[in-house]
Amino acid sequence: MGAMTFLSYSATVILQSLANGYKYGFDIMDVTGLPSGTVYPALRRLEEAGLVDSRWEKEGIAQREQRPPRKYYELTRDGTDALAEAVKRYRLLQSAAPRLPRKRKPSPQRG
Amino acid sequence: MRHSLKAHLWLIRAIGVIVPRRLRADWRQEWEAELRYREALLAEWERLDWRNKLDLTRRSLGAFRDALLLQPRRWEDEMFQDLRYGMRMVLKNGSFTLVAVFTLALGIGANTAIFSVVKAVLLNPLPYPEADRLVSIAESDPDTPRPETVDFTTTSDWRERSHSFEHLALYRRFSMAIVEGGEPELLQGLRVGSDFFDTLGVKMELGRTFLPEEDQPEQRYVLVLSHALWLRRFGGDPDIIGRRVQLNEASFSVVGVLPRSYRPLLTSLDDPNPEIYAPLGYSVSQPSACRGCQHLRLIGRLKPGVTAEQADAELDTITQSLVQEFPTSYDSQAAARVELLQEKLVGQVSTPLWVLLGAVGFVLLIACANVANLLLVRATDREREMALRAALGAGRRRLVRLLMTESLLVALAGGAAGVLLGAWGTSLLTGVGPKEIPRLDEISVDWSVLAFSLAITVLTSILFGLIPAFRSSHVDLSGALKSSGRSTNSGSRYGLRSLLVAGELALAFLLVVGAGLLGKSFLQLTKVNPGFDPQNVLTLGTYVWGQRYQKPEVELGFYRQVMDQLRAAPGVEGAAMVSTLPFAGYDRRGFQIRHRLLPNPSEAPSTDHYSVTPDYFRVMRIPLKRGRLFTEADVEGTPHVALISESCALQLFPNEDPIGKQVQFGSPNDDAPWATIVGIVGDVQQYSLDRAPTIQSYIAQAQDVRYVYMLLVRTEGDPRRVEGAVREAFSSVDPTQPVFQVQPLEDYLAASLAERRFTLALLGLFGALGLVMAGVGAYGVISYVVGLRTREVGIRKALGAERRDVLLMVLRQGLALTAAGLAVGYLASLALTRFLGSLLFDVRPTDVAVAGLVAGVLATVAFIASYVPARRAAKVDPIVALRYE
Repeated sequence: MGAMTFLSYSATVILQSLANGYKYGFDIMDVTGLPSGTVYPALRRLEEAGLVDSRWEKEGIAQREQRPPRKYYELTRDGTDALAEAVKRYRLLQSAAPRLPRKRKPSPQRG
Repeated sequence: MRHSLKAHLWLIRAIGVIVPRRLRADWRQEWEAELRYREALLAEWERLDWRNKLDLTRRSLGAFRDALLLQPRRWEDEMFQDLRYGMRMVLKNGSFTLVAVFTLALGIGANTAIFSVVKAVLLNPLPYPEADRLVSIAESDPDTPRPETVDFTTTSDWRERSHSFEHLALYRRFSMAIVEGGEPELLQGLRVGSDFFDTLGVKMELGRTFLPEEDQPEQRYVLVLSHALWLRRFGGDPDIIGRRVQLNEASFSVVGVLPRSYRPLLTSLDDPNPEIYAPLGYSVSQPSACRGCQHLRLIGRLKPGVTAEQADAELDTITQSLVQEFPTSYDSQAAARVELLQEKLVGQVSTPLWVLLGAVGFVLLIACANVANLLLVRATDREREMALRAALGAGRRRLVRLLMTESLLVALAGGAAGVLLGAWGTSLLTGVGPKEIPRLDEISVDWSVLAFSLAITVLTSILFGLIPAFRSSHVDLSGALKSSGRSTNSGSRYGLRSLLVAGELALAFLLVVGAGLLGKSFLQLTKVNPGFDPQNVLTLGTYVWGQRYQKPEVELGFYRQVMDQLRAAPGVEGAAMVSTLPFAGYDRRGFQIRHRLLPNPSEAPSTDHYSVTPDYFRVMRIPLKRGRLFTEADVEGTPHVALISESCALQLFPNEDPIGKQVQFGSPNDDAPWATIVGIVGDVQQYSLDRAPTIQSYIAQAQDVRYVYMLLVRTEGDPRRVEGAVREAFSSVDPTQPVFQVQPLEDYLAASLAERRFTLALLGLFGALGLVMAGVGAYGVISYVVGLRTREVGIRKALGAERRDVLLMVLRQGLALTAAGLAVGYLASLALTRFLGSLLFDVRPTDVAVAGLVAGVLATVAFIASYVPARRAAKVDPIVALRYE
């Protein structure tokens, strides 16, 4: 179902960051520069569409650090396919309109 | 550091309130986990400055949008799922829904209407402030079964010696003629103690209440008007206070006007609505204030914390010491009776109203049973659906909740329709309800009635929905999914449905037996001989006022002239006068027998006493048993004569001939002349048809004119036709003398039965309703059972069974059902009809004839309900039946 509808730019960016290994909601916010009010609703929509899966951290890790387990997200097979499609499409768009600015904001990095 | 952590978490918690419940826990954990992780990390790297803290706050604000966008998921909550499903089902099965809603509306509507009456009449406190402290007080003695009156002097002693009361107020009826400002009219009112309105807690709309100094014999010419009178007779004059009004020949000054919201105190069912109030104006030195001159009524307001029982005990003690101090003024067993005012006003109707409420409760139960049956029918059709849901993971509780939601929706629809029906019913009841039902004008459908209706609606949904829901949710997975619909459960469902219908028949039996017992009582009452012939008699009240009528001979002359004129009028067979009409009040006086003087004259028996014209007995057709009646020769100046009733003779002169004995009427202070008994007449019913006649005595009007008289005219045809002639006769002799309450004598009798008739009509209606519903229920079940056995019928017919045999087979089914219902119903009636006790007259609660008749009616209804499906079964084509699956 997700393959048919066009992913929005923010959704694509989020999927890309998942593919790049950023699993936790706040990390995705950092990497993409999107606000929390966008990231989380988008993650939920993507989950409903079956493009991402959510899981809870292992209890053990969280307990050791005395904090509640965090939720992390992963791409599903459908998600990977959809991402590839979307990337192709945006590349085409880019080439069709080369002077469109690439949306990249500097964002606070960890470390 | 700590604050900022708390701020984030607090934000998340606050925002989390709007997240749908199902998702809330996970959602909060997700957000909190991220925030705390980051928070801890920043602290570890010592980068937790104000900028980063702000950043965290900014991020947590985003949770709000997240929560908002989750709102649509709320609709997936199970509750809403159930509701959507329920609505779909209800709308899909239109015919079931309609029948169920209609049935429930009848049940809930009837309950709403009756409850609104019970609430207003029995449960609501009287419309006075702190009405639970208001009591009515009376002097009692063994001779008076229902004490109502007190005397002035005893009350003064009570007032002085008692500590239980905040206020005590005496009152009595009085009437005055008013001529100015319109037609001459007789105004009814009360003479009251100066603290009467303070006792009730009523504030005047205009002016003030009476002052204690106005409550004296010479000062009592002040007036308080009712709101309606003020509008009607004085045009709502804003300057009414201080205005002088002429009543009879006295001039009164208006000091107050009552508010429109004031509800007059009507402690006796035949009290007319009072429109004028004047001070009582008694003093202990007056003859009418004597101990034993019991003609006043007393109300009181208890002090806070004092109960009616305590006050009763206290007054009893005081009365006993009064008996010691004044032994000849009291019966040796004189006591006080203190009763809550509300109890006194509505006590009479409380049993019939509770009975009616119970009856409509039964009707509702029958309605619920019918709807439950309908649901059980549909349960069979929905077995597959339930099995599928169970297979897909729905637990039993989930299925029950699902079905109960549907039931609740149906019940709510029925409840809404029922409330509308009930409101209509309530207005109908207040319209046609006899005025003998107290507080009729206070009945309305208020919020408490609506709350009651809502409560019983929810209750009915549980009653009719729960068992079918449990049945349906108990799913035999393999059986239901495999077969094409008919599963092994149908047998037990039939058993349950039959049980329900048998229960309905039992309840219907109870209702109709109740109605039957009341009906038989009513019939017995109408057969009671009142002691006179009430047909074709017109009655009216006279009221003679004015200086010149102070002389008894002038008053008598007035009456004679009027009656002579009337006797000459066409269509009139006779005219007479009496001081107290049967079924219209009473006048009890002491009865002292000369050669049997009692040491304590206050212990003399009391008789119902009448002052009559000579042909009273002829006009009323009261038989003369022995001796002679009064004649025109019995006048003032000739020896005083008296007549007594048959019961009086039997009771007071058991071993001797009363004729020739001398008797004295009234209390010893009256010093009445001794009268000789010259005859014995038949008994008359004075109070009501269901009581034994009291002992009665008569004197001649011409020898004692000190009363207010009622006129009686016996006519050849409809008594109302002579009304004109009667008014004409009065106005031609003296147009300033008013007449009032013109009505046929029969109306008084009918009024005494009005409340019974009303209760009977309603109970009959509910009985009929219950019977029809039970019949419909029985028809439903038997049709269903016949349907189940169609194959069997086909086989039998193929094997040579006659139509008759099939008919009998089905009818036997119906018979079994009816017999079960009747048996249970009869047993229940043996237990429950005793609650009708006080409503019955001359009928035992276990009357066999009534039970038998009702059983017959029920059996007939059940027979008809069985016959139709039986005929259908008999006509079945065996080939079709055998193929039927």
